[in-house]
Amino acid sequence: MAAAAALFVLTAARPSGRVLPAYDPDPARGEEMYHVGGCISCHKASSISGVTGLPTGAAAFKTPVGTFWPGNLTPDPETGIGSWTAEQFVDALTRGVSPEGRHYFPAFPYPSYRNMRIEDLLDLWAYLESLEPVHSPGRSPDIPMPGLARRTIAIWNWLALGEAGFPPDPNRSEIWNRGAYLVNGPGHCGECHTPRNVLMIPDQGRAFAGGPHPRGDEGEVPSLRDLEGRGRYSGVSDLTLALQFGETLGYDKLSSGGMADVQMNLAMLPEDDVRAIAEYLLSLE
Amino acid sequence: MSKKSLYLSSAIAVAILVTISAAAITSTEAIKQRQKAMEGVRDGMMALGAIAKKEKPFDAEVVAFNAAKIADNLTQAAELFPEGSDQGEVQTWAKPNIWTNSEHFDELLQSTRQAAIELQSVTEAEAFPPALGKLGNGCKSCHDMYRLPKN
Repeated sequence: MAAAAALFVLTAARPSGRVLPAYDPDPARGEEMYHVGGCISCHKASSISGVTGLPTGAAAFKTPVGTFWPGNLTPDPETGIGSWTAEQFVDALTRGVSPEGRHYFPAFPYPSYRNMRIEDLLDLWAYLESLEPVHSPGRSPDIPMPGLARRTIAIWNWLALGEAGFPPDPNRSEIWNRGAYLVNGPGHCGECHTPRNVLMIPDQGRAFAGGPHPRGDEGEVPSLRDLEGRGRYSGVSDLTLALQFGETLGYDKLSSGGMADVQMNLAMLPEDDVRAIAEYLLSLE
Repeated sequence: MSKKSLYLSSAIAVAILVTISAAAITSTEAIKQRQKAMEGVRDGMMALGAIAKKEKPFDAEVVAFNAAKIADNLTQAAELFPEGSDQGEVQTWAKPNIWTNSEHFDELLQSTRQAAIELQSVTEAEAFPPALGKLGNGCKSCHDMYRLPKN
């Protein structure tokens, strides 16, 4: 009994009490983060919208665990994030806790977003706050025993999460480091491309090796390792074009399993960022 | 009848006939014309794709010309989906949901056309890939929902 009580207390989500640095945010850069993060692809209004439209979060997100309805990211004070503070937003993205003190399910890829730099998070926050507020109430996830499940996430986090942040590798070029940051942070590529164990914890020892689709989609998620060696792409320019234009320029395997959304989001980025991503990915052995 | 009134009545008759035939475009005609419009879009995309792939150098005039061609063809195509043209005497790949989701279909077509118009004013090479990507996204989104697979 005592152990259960202790566990109950210990698994509660607490605000981090973090103090944010003084920083003048740039909503234009926040919009870039919005695309790299692919926010619209889950937080979209309905399943028929692509990467345009406001992130009001009415579309269902089905997983093997259950069905989720990602939240309304417009600054509506009642149903969106309009009444949040910047600290609460940063906590949500880096620790996976809501302003009400509840754990988010890692269907929301905060394990990757926690690698984002504080400046990028604040830029993103500024961008979202600039959107038109739309009243769109959320829905609780349709999963078994949601209350208990949320508490077990605290344990999952303890097992699954590494240290936050993604420090640059001084032995690598600036471009490579930029790509590494984009892929491991806002791009959250590993959330699909890194295989998971029976507890659905990503196996970082086999990062980007591919495997069954964690969302339960048909088919395997391909490995991103040794792309050039396996003849998938002929170099950085080739992969950059594939990421920017996908099937429009005749590249295949860029439409299913969520890649259509990824490619459409990457198409909105400055070319340098897409090249950096390509350079990093092609360096994976 | 005087010559003048003969010419006048012929002109009126021709005008009426042209109006009737234009208003009552057959499904088959609509299908053929819109496929031709889409081929025009494809021609424009091929030229832009060559620049994207760096096979041809970036040239703002070439971009503007082909983006305008795409925009014009999309403008024409927008008018070529009359009711009932999910079937005709030639094969069409238009899905019936174009007419059940007509508002969304129109929206997608117009926003794609808008992306083509925006591409016309790209003068810097760095601005080209995201602008072309946005157009490609529009083509793709519409085709994914409203076009039958080619095989």
